[in-house]
Amino acid sequence: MSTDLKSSNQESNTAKAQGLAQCHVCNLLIDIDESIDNYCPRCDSKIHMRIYDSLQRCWALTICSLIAFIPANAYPIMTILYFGKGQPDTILSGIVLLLKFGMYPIAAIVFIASFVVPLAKIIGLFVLLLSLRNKSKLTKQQRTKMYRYIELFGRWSMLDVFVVALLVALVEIGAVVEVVAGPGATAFGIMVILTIFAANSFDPRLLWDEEDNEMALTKEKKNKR
Amino acid sequence: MNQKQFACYECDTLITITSINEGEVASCPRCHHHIVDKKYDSINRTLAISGTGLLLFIPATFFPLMSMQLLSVESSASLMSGISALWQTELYLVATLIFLFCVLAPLVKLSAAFFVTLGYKHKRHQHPFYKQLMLFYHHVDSWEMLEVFLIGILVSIIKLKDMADLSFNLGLLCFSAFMLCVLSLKVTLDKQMIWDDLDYEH
Repeated sequence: MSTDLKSSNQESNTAKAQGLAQCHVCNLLIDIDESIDNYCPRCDSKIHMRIYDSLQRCWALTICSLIAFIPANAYPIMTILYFGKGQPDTILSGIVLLLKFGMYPIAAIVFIASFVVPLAKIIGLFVLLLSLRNKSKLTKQQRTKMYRYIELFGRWSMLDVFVVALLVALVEIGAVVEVVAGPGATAFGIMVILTIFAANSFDPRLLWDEEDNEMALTKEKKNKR
Repeated sequence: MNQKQFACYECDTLITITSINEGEVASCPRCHHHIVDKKYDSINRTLAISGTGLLLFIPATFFPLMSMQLLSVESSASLMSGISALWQTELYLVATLIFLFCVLAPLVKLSAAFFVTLGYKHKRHQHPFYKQLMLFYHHVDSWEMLEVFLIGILVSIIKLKDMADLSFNLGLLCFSAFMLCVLSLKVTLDKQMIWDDLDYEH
C-alpha cells in the first residue's frame, strides 16, 4: 500500500503533493505547515499553498468588472466642444466617429484596446472559472495559455483613458475648442482596475490540481483492480 | 546558484535545475512557463539602464510631449499637465490612476533597480533596505503602463492631426527613451539571482 502511494506521488510531481510551496515574491521553496500562517524566511511575505480564497475572490471581482463595464460604455468619456457646443462621446461613438473620418487603423486599435480586450478578459475569466466547475473542452495547456494572455493584455485597456488625459491637457484653447472629460472615464478606470485584480486573484495552479487529483484517483482504481 | 529546486508558478510542477548558464531560460515541461531566466551580465546592465532612466524621469514627465497650434493660439501637453488637467475637471480617481501607472510605478521600479544593483556592486546588498526595495519592485511591477501611454500619445496625435497643426517636442523623445529604459529592466534585471544571494535563517 505504501509503495502505491509513493508511486502516485511521483506521478503527480507537484510541490503541493510534497507539502512544499513556493514564495510568490522570491521563489523560495519551503515546507508548509497548513495549520499555521507561513512566512517566507527570505523576504517575509506570507506564503499560501494556493492563493487564499482564489475562486471566491475571482468570481466576485469578475462579476463586479462586468457590472462596471456597463457604465464605462454607457457614459460619455469626453466631450469635444466647438465654440461651446458639442456632443458627448462614449467609447463606442468615438470609434464610430473615427470610422466616419476614415481613420480605420486607429479605429481598430482603439476598438480592440478599449472594447474587445476588457470584454474578452471578463469572458475569458468566466470561462476559466466555469471550467473548474464543469467539464471543459479546452485542455489544461490551452486554459493556462488563455490565463497568460489575459494577464498580458489586460493593461492595454487603459489606452482610452490616457488618450482622454492628453486631449484634455492639450485642447484647452478656451473659446474655440475645448475637450472636457466625462464620468465614463472614471467608470472605465474602475473597470480596468477590477479586471486586473480579478486576473491576479485567479490561481492558475488550480487548473492543474484537478488533473493531479484525477490521475491519483485513476491510479488508485487501477491498483485496486 | 544556491537554490536547486523550483515549483512552476503556473502549474506547481517541481523541477530541479542543476546548472544554468547566463542567457539561458529554464521552462516548465508541463505548461512551458518560464521558471528561471538567467540574464546576461545583469548587474552592470541594470545599473546602466536604471541610471539612464532616472536621469530621464524629470524631462519625460514634465517636458511638453507635443504642442498644438490653432488660430494662432498655442497649447502644449506633458504627462504631468494631463494629470493636473484631469484633476481640475474633478476626475480625481482617473488622475490618481494615471499618476500611479505612469509616474510613480516606473519611478519606484527604476530607483529600486538602481539602488539594489548599486548595493550589489559594493557588496552591501545584505542590508534589509535592499530586501525592502526588491519587495517594492515586485509590488509595482504589474502596474506600470508606460508603453500603453506611448500608444495613447500616438492615438491622440492621429485624432487631432486634422483639427489643428501639431508639432512634437523634446518631451516625446525623452518619454520614449524613458519608456525603453523601464521596459528593458524586464530583460536585464535578474531578480532570482539577487534573491538567491540574500542571506536568511533556515
